[in-house]
Amino acid sequence: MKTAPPLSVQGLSIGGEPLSFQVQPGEILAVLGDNGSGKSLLLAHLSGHLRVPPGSVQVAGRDLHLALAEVGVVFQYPGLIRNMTVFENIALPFLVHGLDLDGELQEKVRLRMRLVGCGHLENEEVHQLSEGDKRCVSLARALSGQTRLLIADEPVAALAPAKKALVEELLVSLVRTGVLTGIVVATQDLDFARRIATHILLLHGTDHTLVRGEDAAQNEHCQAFTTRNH
Amino acid sequence: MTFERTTRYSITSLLGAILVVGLRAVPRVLTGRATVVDRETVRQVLGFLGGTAGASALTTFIYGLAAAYGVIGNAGSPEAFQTLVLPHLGGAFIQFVIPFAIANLVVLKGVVGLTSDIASMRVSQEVDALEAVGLNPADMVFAPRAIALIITAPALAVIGVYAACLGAWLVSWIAVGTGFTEFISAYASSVTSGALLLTVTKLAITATAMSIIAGYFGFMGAKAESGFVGKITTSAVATAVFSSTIVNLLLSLLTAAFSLE
Repeated sequence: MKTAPPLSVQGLSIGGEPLSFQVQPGEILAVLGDNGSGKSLLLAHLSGHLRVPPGSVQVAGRDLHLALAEVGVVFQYPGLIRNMTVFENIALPFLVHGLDLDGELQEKVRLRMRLVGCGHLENEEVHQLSEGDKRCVSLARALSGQTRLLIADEPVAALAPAKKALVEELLVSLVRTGVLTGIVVATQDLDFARRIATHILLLHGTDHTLVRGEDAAQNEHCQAFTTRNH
Repeated sequence: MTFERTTRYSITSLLGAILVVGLRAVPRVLTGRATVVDRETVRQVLGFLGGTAGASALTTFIYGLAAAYGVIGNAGSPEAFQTLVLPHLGGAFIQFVIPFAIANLVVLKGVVGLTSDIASMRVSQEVDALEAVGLNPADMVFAPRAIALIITAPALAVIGVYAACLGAWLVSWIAVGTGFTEFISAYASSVTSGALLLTVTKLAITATAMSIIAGYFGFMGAKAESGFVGKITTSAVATAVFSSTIVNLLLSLLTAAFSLE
């Protein structure tokens, strides 16, 4: 029996040509485009914050609104809740499901903090963090709860090279080991996209192009994007 | 092209959030089973009360000073003030001066704080993050602040009654030499529990209306863009000032119609 893809988008319109694509198990899709090309808007639809027509976005074969608990989101701004510590922010997805933060859950939260390199920030208030650390905490929170599909808007922006490499490695290993079924990242960084993505969706004007990660270097639209952004 | 948010924040859903969060928080806080929303509610109530008690006392003290100064100047003689005006001063303050002063404070600090908090949390995508983890932002962001406003406004009225009394006594003592005990006993005799309850109720209703206006504007629109916070806060305050007058007028007409005042 064939299993439903982690993410399936059918005829979704975000201002230009309707988009249709799938993310298969173990795949990472990078959404590439200039400022204002609609990357964040597409991700706002995929993460359930903006209304989508019924059936146009499916997660593991179910309508998006029925599967939101399995979708973890890293936003363009880190969106960490003020007045809460780093630990409380990462624990939030567990707390809202009415779970008691016992020893096992606390260890799960700490594991996520260590995975993104924020283990030493446990009791810090979020307003005291650097932009890079906020991004890492935001990623750790997106990986809490019941997340199986990750939607991430510029997940490595503002990160120092060492942290960037750590996060790239983490994202790739999460899908390879099956912890996550798939990842969609929005970025303006073609090199980052080529390093981690199995497929690249390039948004340009009202049109879009979908290519395999390894073919991106030869694609004329990707080449034009690289020229514009260097 | 316009886009629509998945979660809607209508006036009824905001009112529902206040009721649900408020009713659930009390037993859970009392039994030590407070959730993340309950803890935020308690924090907001204490924060708002702490942040407005001083300003409220000072404002009503000054209102008391000014009102007493005006009344004494027009009373004709010290005896006329002490026998004709003073026995009714507390009642007049609680009915007209205190609600006006506290309602102004609620509109300014409460509505500005609530709207700008929600709007700035939308710009920083905290509201989106709450939705993403399965928390209703109306419960986590709006209701705790609204409940803080609704509880604090009547509490400020009680503080205001005594602060205004102190201000009025100071003027009365300087102008006509009224003793403190004499003044307090005459003032207190006109502050009936019925009048106090009516003022407290009116302020709680006004605060509820103001918080819903602030919440409605804070959550308005699908996307939070640049200049959003200032624009939306200005609109909320303008609407709240107008609505506060209308709400007070309606409540006054209602209480007059049922001979409650």
